[in-house]
Amino acid sequence: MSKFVGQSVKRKEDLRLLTGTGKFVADLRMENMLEAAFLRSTYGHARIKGIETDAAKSLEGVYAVITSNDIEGEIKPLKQFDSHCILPPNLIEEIDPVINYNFEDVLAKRKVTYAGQPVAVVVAKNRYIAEDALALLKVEYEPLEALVNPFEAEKGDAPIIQEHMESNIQSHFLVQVGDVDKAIEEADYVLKKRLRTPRLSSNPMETRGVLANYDAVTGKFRVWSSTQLPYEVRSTIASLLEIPEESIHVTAPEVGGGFGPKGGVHPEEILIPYLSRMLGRPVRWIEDRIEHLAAARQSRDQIHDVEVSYKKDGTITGIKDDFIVDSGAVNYFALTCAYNTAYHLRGMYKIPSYQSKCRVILTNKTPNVPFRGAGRPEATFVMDRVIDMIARNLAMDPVDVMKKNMIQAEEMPYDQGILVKDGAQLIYDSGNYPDALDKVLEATNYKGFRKKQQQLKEAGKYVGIGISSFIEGTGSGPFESALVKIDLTGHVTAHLGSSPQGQGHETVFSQICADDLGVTPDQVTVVVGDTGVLPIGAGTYASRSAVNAGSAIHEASQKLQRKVLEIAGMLLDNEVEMLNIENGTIYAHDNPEMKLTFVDIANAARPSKSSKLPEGMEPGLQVLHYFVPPTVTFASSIHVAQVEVDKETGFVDIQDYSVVHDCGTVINPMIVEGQVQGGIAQGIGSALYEEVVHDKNGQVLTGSYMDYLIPTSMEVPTVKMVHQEYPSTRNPMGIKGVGEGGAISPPAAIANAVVDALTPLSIEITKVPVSPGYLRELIKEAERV
Amino acid sequence: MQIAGEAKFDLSKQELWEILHDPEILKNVIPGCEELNLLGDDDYEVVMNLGVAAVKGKYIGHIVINNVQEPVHYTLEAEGSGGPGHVKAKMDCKIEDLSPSGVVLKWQCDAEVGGLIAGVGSRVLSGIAKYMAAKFFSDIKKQIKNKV
Repeated sequence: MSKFVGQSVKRKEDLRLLTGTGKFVADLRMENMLEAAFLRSTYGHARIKGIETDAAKSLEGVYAVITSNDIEGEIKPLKQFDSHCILPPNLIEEIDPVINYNFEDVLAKRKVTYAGQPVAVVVAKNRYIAEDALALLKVEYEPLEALVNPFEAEKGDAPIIQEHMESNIQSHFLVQVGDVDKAIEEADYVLKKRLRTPRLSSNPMETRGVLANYDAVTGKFRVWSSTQLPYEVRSTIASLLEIPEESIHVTAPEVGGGFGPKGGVHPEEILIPYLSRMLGRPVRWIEDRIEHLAAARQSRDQIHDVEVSYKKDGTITGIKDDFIVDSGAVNYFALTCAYNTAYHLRGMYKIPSYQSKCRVILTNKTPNVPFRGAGRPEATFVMDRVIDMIARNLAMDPVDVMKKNMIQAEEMPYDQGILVKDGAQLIYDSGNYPDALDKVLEATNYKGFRKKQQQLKEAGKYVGIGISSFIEGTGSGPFESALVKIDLTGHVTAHLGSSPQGQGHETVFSQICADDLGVTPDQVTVVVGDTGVLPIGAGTYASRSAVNAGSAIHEASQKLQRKVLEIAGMLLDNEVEMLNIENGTIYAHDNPEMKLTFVDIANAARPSKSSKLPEGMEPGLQVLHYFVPPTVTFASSIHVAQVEVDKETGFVDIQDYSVVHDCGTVINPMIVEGQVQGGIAQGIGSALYEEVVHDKNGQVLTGSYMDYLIPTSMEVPTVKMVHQEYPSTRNPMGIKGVGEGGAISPPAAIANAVVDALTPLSIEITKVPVSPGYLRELIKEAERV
Repeated sequence: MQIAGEAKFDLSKQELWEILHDPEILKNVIPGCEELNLLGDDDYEVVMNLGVAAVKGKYIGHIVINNVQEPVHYTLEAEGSGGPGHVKAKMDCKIEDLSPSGVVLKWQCDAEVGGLIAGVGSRVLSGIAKYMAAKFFSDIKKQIKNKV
């Protein structure tokens, strides 16, 4: 019975967050705490000939100056995160992947491979002294040829970035279904294009930060990190410092945004605990914004060469995609983003022949990791620009080309004929895409817009409309854990292995638990982000927490409810089926006057000689449950953007943005709407503004917000939203993920709208961001023809 | 980054040449110059304190003068690094007669920067470089006036 699931329950987190009383890593101070600052490479690719540290060491207030020589043999290098990288045998057989082992020393050893890479670390009484000491360090570099173009980097004679490898091609694979060559041969038309999505920075409001304190008496580390994955931080520290996981206790306190890059463990998260042990004092490091823009992991950066075969009526018969992922100097997540792109590319469409060939190339840039959408915004940009180009080639409305190729409601569950990364068959579990299209066209008043557009164009206004759709495999495994317990006061506490960066875990998971235990969300305290309470957990990424942690807490709460009822049944001398829990009291239908509370049950279950428990039942009121999803579940959405283009300046103004989305069972509509709106804000950033730019030497030219543009509230309209609710068939509550979705479609929707706004002038957008400079170039080129 | 410019002087070619190779004068006119020490033939060590956008700091480097054809042509190669990053520049200078009198110095500079100066300052770098070049030459003119 759902009483709180489905309600816009107010977020428990907001009192702290909106009154400035939440504690982030930078708010944590310890007695005797020292502060660290990192010296970072000023070259994209160079040998380190030597580092002079004497002047820095002799500065008053400096406690340590550490280079790779000082930690030789003491800290193992960071390598790919195997928990995210291992492929199941059937997938290996199907896509024939090659993944070359690659790694990064926590401080650059002998050479640097990207600008911003940590080269040395200074620990001092405070950050001011630490920064002064950095200025006294002298590194002698011998510059090497920097590789910033992946097509150059993959050539046989290019300098090798990871020197143990034979080339800079870190991994590759091939996915195919049908016969794409035959489809191209037999097609009425073939479209051939190169499409690109830029390298992005993730820009959480809170930058990264780590505080560590080593206790020499117990031999234990306390670590606080602004991370999405406290358990991954724990296991990485353990394996790199070669100490047991049990000696490390990691807490993710308030975390102000993560978006993916805070899910990859960075070198600083290893070095700060190490330094605390070395110095016998707490050490803290807080990333500044310039460090973030240069050295925090980045994302996207794909180039697709597609060939698409289609018929005169708009039916797409085949797609052949040859794409590369420019992964920067290290690929930590193997095929995660690349395979996401490959298996999501066809989206809502039934395209019988498909081939996707991928190479992940290393270059002298900051390492790439997943970022909100993780390979799907790239796939969606390709697919939906293709749909729009085909429509224009055939003088059709893009909506008609979408409809021609769309999977119908009665065809669900739909099998796309290839595998998901976890080895399951790629089958969309539920949804109704044609209905979503109808609904979003109604929300945006598509017909009305088309009529008005004609008049506005005649009046010299360049207004356009663009559509993009996606499906998203959400809620990936491997698992999530939940521990639900009732204490002697009758209060419910739940611990989860997945921790938030602002999503609202404390609220939504207390809603689920409250419904299952017959209490209110206020009577449930959700405690997350701490490796001290649960033996293992996975974390928050890949639109997975509602699905996995939600299912885990649901199952744990149901098991606990059963236990409570069984104890109550014994105490009330009644059948369990006759009992009801409401507002924390248990009573029998046929005798509602006889009531028990959780306090009564907790006391009865207390381990003692006088415990009152059914025969054979374990004492105590706590249940630990691990939820393991069978595979991902498919959320879906369609976005429509209305824009006006200033043809003279190339500026794009978003006038309306409408969305229909399906995330299965909605736990808290207000939070879902916040996620969608926030994702779209980031998507608008990548559609119009954001790009990490390197010069030919691998220097980051977008080192501050003067050059790396992000949208403000002025550029982000309030999104019109329509919810569809097609429950997932792959978890007990029917939940699908929603965290990333908003960010996936805006680049394609907005690019399509801009093309539409300028029609009949024929411009062809093949990359984002659609910056004024790029758009003016396209307009000038089109006018020349 | 490539920038170029020219400056006119009411001097003879030889007079300008000598001024441009006088460490005492150069020390006063190189923007932010704190030290300029002659190490050998046409080889100087330089310490400069410079600010580019928000990136301020001290750079220690070398200046070497090559391809000398006194008094009409030389190439100046400068390399320096410091807390905010590094700079490498090659500047080609030609001195030509003007009619009816005076000379013009035509220069072309190819510069590469790295680190914070590139990350934060690249957008304003060429503007600042042009400003510094203009200041360099106007300060030379001031020095000449003071000498006279």
